[in-house]
Amino acid sequence: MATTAEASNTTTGNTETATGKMIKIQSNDGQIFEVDQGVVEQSSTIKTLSDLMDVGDVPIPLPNVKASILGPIVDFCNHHKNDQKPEPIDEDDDDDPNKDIYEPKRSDDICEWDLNFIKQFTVPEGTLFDIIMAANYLGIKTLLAVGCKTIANMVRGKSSTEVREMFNISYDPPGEGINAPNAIEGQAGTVPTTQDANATGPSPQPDPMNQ
Amino acid sequence: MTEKVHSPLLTLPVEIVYRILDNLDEFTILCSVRDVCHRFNLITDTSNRYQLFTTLDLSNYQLQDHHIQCLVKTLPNTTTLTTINIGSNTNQDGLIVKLINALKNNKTLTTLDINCNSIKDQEAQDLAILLDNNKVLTTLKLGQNEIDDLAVKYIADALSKNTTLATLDLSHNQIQDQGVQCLSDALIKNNTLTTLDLSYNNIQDDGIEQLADALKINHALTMLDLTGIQFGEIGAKQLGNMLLYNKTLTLLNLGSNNIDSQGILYLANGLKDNKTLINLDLNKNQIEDEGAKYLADALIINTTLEILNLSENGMEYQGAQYLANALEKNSSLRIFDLARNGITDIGAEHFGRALSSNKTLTSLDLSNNEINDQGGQYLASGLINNKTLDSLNLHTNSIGDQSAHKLSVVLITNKTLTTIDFNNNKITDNGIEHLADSLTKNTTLTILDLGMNQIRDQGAEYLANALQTNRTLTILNLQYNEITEIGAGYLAVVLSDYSTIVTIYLRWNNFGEEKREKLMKLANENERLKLTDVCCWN
Repeated sequence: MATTAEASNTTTGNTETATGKMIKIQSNDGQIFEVDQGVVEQSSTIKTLSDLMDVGDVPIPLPNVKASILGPIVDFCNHHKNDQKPEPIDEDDDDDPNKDIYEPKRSDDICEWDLNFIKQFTVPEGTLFDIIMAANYLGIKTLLAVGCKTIANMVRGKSSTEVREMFNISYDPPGEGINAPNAIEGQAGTVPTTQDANATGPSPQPDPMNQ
Repeated sequence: MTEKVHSPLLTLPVEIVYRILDNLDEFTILCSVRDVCHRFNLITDTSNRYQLFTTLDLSNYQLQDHHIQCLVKTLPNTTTLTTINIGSNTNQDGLIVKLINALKNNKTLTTLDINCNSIKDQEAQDLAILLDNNKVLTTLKLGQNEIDDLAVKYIADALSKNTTLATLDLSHNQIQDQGVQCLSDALIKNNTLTTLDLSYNNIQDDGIEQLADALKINHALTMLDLTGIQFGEIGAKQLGNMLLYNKTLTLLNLGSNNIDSQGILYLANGLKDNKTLINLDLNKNQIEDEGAKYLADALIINTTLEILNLSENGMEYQGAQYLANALEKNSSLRIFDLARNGITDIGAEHFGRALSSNKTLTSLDLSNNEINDQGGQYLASGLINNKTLDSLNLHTNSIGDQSAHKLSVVLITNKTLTTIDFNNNKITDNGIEHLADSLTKNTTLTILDLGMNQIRDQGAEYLANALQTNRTLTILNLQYNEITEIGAGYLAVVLSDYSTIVTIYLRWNNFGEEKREKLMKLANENERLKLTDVCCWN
């Protein structure tokens, strides 16, 4: 069941919530969604903002998420709001980089609903990355995990050429990549991203407000 | 700088890429993520997992061309990998040759395992080139391939020049005398190889002669495995002669050959003068009582041998007598394996006597012999004065309650025995009563195997009572006895005391189907009461 942003607006009429307190959130393109505490609890960012602002009826602005992504995310959180509380172990993920060195996490344990959910986001349209970035920004660990596992599953068993094709990555020109016989530091300048500073340091803590 | 279309994947922050990598095994990271683009190389290189990535295990991986292509591309740049295992893959389309060639300029790999890959002449030739140039590889495993005399010649030639390789496994190949001659020539020149495994090849006496001659000169090899070669008397003579001259070999494995009493005479003569060999494995030969006499003579003189395996050699009470007499005088042997012979009560009597005077033996294996309750008593009596033995194995004999009684007297004061294996004997509740009683006083024994005896609920109750105070026993095997849910109940109660440390194995007893539910409840409440797990401590 592919739900759209419009459909999720119907949640506005849903008053049957745990605490009854509804919160409004606003996408960067101006669409307002009304969510209950069960949804708020799943997003550390919305939770923090709602606690901080305590704005009553004023919608919380989420400047990094557009409506076409925020709508499905509200659906996702509504679907999962009655799940058992995630084990606190998840919290340690980023604290201990030595953990799981020899044992990669399972990525074949995505439940069927989530599999169908994530299918509506694709690589060519870029929406799969949008949803991962949004999940990261909103601090929704379960959704972030589903997104990362989905990409991991796409990569597994592929050659680097296939991965390049799948994600439309242009190869560093032959003879200039890190694998070139005379690979030199100067090549680093061609790296097409602003994230390089991060890449050389130890895994940093996720910063919900980055970008 | 060229204009490029940037994939949104590349805009993901590094911590999200790390999260994706967390879901992937090392080989996928190496093959599918690295080399995709510069940024991914930077990210994988800085990831903690990748930096600690030293072993690449691709055994049974059904390696295909694109895997090898990836490896070939990646290997020259990996600086962390020290071990590659590509054992048990189907070597099609020259995959292994490609991989070997990719390793030529590698400077980090120390272990290469290519067991079971149908390696023949071509691969051997490329390996030889690799060994000529490589200065880091120390372990090369080529077992279970199709290496014949021609193929081994390439490797032997390389070995005569190589100065880094320390371990070479050529077991289960098709090497014959000519191949061994090449290896022997190499061993004369080589000064670094310490371990050579030639087990299960088709080497005859001529080949052994070449090898033995080389080892009189070689000063590096410490471990030689010649298991299952099927060489006979002449080979044994050459090896015995070699032992007179060789001063480096510490381990010699000669199991599963055709060494008879005459062959052992030569080896025994070598042992008399040899001062370096520590571990000699002669299991599954035909030494018999006469050969035991020669070996016994050597053991009286030899002062260095610590581990001797004579299992399955058709020895009976006479052989046991010779060896036991030697044990009274020998002061170096620590581990003695005499399993699967025909040693009877008379033999056990001799060993009992030897145990009461011997001061070095720590482990004696007399399992699968013909020792009855009388012989068991002799052995137990011998232990009263013994202060060194820590492991006694009488698995699969016919000792009974009197032996258990005698041993219980030993256990009250003994401070060295940690492991007793009485599995598959004839001990009943009467013997268990005494053994259990001694367990209340003993503070050394950690493993007691009483599986496959005739213990019933009464015996289980005795043991349960003893375990109320015993805090040293860690494993009590009671599998294959006649204990019902009542006996299991006694044991469950004592295990519910959290200060006990023992784990009790109870599978295959007389539990009726209708009691299953109740028993499973017991087992679920007591983590250390094993109703379904199989006990395998040894």
